[in-house]
This record gives sequence, structure tokens and C-alpha cells, in this order.
Amino acid sequence: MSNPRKLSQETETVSGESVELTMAGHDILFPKLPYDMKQRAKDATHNDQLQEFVNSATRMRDQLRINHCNDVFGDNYDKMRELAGSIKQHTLDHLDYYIEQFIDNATAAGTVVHYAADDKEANAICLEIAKLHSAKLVVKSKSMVTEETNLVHDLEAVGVETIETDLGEYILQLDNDAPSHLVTPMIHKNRASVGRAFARELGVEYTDDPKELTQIARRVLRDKYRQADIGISGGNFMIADSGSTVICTNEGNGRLCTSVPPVHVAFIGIEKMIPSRKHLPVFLKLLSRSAIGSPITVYNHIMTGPKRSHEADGPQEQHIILIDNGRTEVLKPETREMLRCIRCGACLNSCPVYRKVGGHSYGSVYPGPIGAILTPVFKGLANYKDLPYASSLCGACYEACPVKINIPKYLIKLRGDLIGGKHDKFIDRIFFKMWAMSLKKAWTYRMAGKFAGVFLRLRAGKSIKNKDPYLNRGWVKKVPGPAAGWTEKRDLVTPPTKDFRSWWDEHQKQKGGK
Amino acid sequence: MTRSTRESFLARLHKPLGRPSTIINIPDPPEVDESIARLVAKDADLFAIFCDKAAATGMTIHQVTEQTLHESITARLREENVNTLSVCMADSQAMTHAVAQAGMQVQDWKALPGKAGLDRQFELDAGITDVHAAIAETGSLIYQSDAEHSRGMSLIVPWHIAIVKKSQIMADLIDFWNDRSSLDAQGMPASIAIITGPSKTADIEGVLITGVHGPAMVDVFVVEDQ
Repeated sequence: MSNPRKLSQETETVSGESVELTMAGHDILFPKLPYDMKQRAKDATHNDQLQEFVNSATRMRDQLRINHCNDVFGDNYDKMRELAGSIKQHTLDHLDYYIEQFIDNATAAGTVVHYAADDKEANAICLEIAKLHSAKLVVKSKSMVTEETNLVHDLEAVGVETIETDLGEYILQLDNDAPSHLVTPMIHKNRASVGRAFARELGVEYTDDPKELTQIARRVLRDKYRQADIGISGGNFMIADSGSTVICTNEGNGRLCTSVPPVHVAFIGIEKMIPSRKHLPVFLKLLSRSAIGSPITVYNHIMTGPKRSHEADGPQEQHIILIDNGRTEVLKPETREMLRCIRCGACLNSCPVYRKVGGHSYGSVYPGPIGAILTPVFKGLANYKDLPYASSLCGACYEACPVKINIPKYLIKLRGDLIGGKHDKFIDRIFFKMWAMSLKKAWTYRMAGKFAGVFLRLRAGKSIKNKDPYLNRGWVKKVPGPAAGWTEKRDLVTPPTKDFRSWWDEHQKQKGGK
Repeated sequence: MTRSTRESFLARLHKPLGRPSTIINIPDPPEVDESIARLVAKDADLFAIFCDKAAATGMTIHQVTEQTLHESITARLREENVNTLSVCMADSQAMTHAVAQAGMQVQDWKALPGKAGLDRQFELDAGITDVHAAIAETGSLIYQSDAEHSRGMSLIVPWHIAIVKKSQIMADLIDFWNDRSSLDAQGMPASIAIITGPSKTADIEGVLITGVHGPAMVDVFVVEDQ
């Protein structure tokens, strides 16, 4: 699967320097399986743009979410998340009922509903619609499920020019890159790389001013909306009791893609269902607040069927492709809760691991904490063994989640499934056995602590006997075994010769003696 | 390749749900508890809240009366040197007349059918519309498609001018959706847009830019009609 737009591995910038592209476009999300996360994670920690910008942007958005949600929901914030989670859970528990209801209502409104068991079938349906209309140009808005199916590649392979219209996705497409965040897809790129891509691909004069760059994209894309034969969108929600599809965007590209071209095709995962219109405000109130700390997205477009005969504009045909592609696997009772996800990206912004390793390290369409639990179920745990470990289990994702998916619980479950009660490395087995033994009794725990202290002091080149236990400590630069990763990036403070418990015992004795 | 059908697709769901066929009787879905989800009370000062919230989204708010509406709009159009525009309202005659009188070229968006009509919308400087409702909670405009309301006029034009009657302002998103939930699928408008501010993006290094694909400017004239 290579992107036909770009063939060379090296690309010339306006200033003449060459930049190496390690992997092309969409392939970043589809690495060789089984996937080893470590190399990309390591590269990410040495990438300045990622370390400075992704870190600060995610922290800022996380703080905006917290401030804004506490402001408007106050003490009810947790109850609001509980309510949204319970509505989604109810819908998933009765998903067959609601899917049937949705199909009946959407069909009554004039929508053509299609069924896709997997990515190939979804794209094949779309290609047939394109062929039927002799489509030459397609405009599409942001949709994670079309990333899953690699739709753009398949359309372009049969000669249908397909243009991403979300500004971030448009830039990624021009620069042969892939999204690294659910909501802000080009969070890993800086303005200079956008300027270079525009100069190279659009032949415009180099600028790195975000406003000018945005205006250039607007000019180019406005003509595309007018000329497009088909508009493709995803869907944030489907409403069972009216057969409606809802898309939420800030730029307006989603509304343009679904209003201007004569045919609209929506790719939607089956888990996007909600029971009724009365439930919609609960999610509209939470989605944008959780994503970027704003009350609501600029455009919420609720579509029910194609244009009516008495209307002057709007698509003459509306197609909805309902997509499984692994979702019924997740629908099993033990993992069903994961499908509540409304793709707000709050768990990514709150995650200390995502902030450090960035989205591409997860090697899949869905990055961050939610990706770490969804991807192994979608694509096989054996293919993504590292993902359940790509978390500190701090629980920040669970607290941020607007539908209360207990992500840490599933990370632990997947870790358990992975080892099946047994670690594969001998050294790990010994290590964890000793750890377990040391935790069983107070005296063994103390002994283990003493051994660790002595070990670390020797490692730091310090004496294990020291008259003043809290001075002359220094740092441990490197530790072998399971802790090696920790000391690769930072030093460990050397433990004092006397630990707190010994000090406490002595202190108590002295007090008692007085 | 054999294609999935409605039946084969549903069968994929039945297995993980642990039943042989689609369940017929289900418990009621959770109620939307308004003590948790409602953010603006029905008896609050909706006019003040709406103006406040709408302004915070970057829309420009003008408070006018029925007598001063036309005059205020034409003054604002002159300020921005508007040449061509369209009017898209349930009753557009008076507004069209007032704007034409002020020397602006009013295009009839309905005169050209299909693609030609759409193309014309791309060339306009501004579009004037009424709305179907407004929401105090978020400062949003609600714009539905119907025979008198083109989708493009609140979307394609670079400047959207919306007229909101004070009596149209609803307290909370909950109120709007309760109101619309009795319609059946055919009775639903084909397109309902909840518009909250000018088009925005922060995709390039998080820098907030207004006016990407949708209108860069939204002016709201709130008319005292009560």
C-alpha cells in the first residue's frame, strides 16, 4: 500500500535541504505486524517538535477541558459523564434493536443504507457508487473510519481524485503524512513543514504564517467543493429514532462536503448509535468540551435523508455505509464498554505517555489510551503486545473520559491476557516471583528494600557504610534489567544508608527511653 | 465477493449480544436527567444569556427593534462594501426591497436551478437569513433546510447575516431537541445546522484562525419582538 502521490523517500525543501521521510503517509498507521512500538517511541523522545509542541498543546487542552467542564457542570461533571456512559452502554447492549430501527427510519427518509462487514467491503461499496456516477473528484471530511479502510488510497487507485478538506488532514495528505491525534491530526507538525509542503505541492510562495496558509487552503478547496461529484463524511452520531446522521466540525468543511456535492456518502462505525434525538444534547454538551474545552463545535449538522423535492439545494442522494470492521469482536460482553468511545481525544490529551511518544508510536489508526485498548482487540493482541504496556496506569484517561470508559481496567486485563499467568522471559519470571515473595511478609519486604538500597548505592559508586546517612548521596546513572528504561532518560537518586523505617524505629525508641 | 445484507450484517451483531435474533422488547433508555444536563433554566434571562454567549463565539451581535432592523442591516452592509448578496427568509420581500433600495445587488438564489444556483452562491459577498431557533446556552443559531431556506446561504457565503427574533430564543439544547423529537423521519428537515460562531480552525500549531471553509464573519441581529 503506497501512496501514489509521492514516490521518493527524500524530498527537497524550498531552502534546498533534504528531509528524510522514514515512512510514507498512511503506511505509518499500518506497520508490519507484529508491531514493535519501541523504536518509534524512542525516536519520538528525540524529536524536539514533538517533545515541545505536542506536550504543551495536549497539556493546554487538558487544562481547558478541566476548567471548562468544572465551570459549567460543577459538582455534576461526574454525573454527566455517568449519564452519557449509561446511554451509550444501553445502546450497545441493545445495538441490534437500534440498528434495525435506524435502518427503517433512514430508509423512510430516503437514505440508502449499505452494510460492510470489513474495510474491503466498505471501500468496494463506495467505489461502486463512484463508478455509477462516473465520479472524477471526491471531497471528504475528517473520518477515522475511512483511515481504517484506507479509502483515499482505494479511490485514487481507480483514478478518482480524492481530497481531504479538514485543514489538518489536507496538509497531511499534501505532505504524505498521517494523522497522529483523533481531533488535532497534525499536532506533530510545525508551521514550517506546512509552508514547505504548500510551496512544493501547490506552487505557492513559501510562507509559514498560519493565517496566510489557511487562506491558501481555503482558495484551493473552495473550487473543489463546487466541482466535486461526491462528498464523503464520517459520522459522530447516528440517531435511531429518526434515522439521522450527525457530524460535528469547526471549520465548516464537513457541512460543505455534505451539502454541496450531488451525492453524499457517510462511512459510520456501528458503535456511533444513540437511541433518540432527546439524547443528542447530552453528547453535544460533552464532545467539544472534552475535546478542546469549548462549549460546542461551530457546526453540528444533523442530516435526515437527501434533499427533499421542494428544496433548492442539498445532495440528491444520501448513502450510509454501516461498518463493522472488527467492532462486533469488541461488542463481546467483556470488552463492550470500549465501544462507548465518542472520539473526543480527551484521553490522549491527559495521558503522560501519549504526550511523550506522540500518536504515530501507537502504530495504528487509534492512538493514545483508547487506541491502546481498542487496537489489540481490533487487530489481535499478539500483533500489538506493547500497547497495553504503553501506560503508567495513572488513571488520568479514565477521569477525562466523557463516557467513563474504564481504560486502566482494560489495560490491566489485556496485560493479564498477554502473559496468560506466565511471563515469557526467564529473568522476568524470577524478578516477579521474588517481588511477590517480598511483598508477602513485612520482614521480607524490608529485606528486599535493604538489598535494593545496597545494590543502588554500589551502582552509584557510594559506600554502603556512611556516618551521615543523608549526605553524600549522588545519582545512579544506569540500572540494568527492568529499570533500564527509567534510567535511560534520567538519573535515580541514590538511597540513603538508613531507610525511613530504621529511622522511625530508632526515633520511637529514643522517645520511649525518655 | 458475496455482499453483506441486512440479515447477514445483523447476524454478526447477534452473536456477541448472545441472542439468535434481534431483541423486540427492550427497557427504556436512560432518561436525560435535566437536573444534571440542563445548563440554562427556562425562566432565565434568555435574551441576555444568548447575546453574551453568541458574542463569546466571535459572532457580532446587534440589538435592534422591528423598526430599526432594515436600517441597521443596510448600514452594516455599506460598512463592509457589499455588492452582491441574497436574502433567504420565510418572508423575504420587505428585506429584499430594503437592501435593493440601499443600492446593493440582490440575487434571487432560487432563480437558477441545481448546480447553477449553487455556483451563484459561491460568488456572493453575503447572505441574509432568518433562523428557526436560537439557543441561549451556547449562543447558537439553528438553521433548517426547506423550500425557503438554502443550505448554502449560512455556509457558502463569506459573510452570514442572521436575524433572530427574541421570541425564538430557547434556553437549552435540551429544549430544542425535545421540541423536534415528535417528528417522524420524513417529517424531520433534511438538514438541521446548529451554528455557533464563524468558521474556525486551530490545526496549524494551535493558532486560532477564523474563516477556513465556512463564513469568516457572522453578524446576528436580535430583534425585540415581545
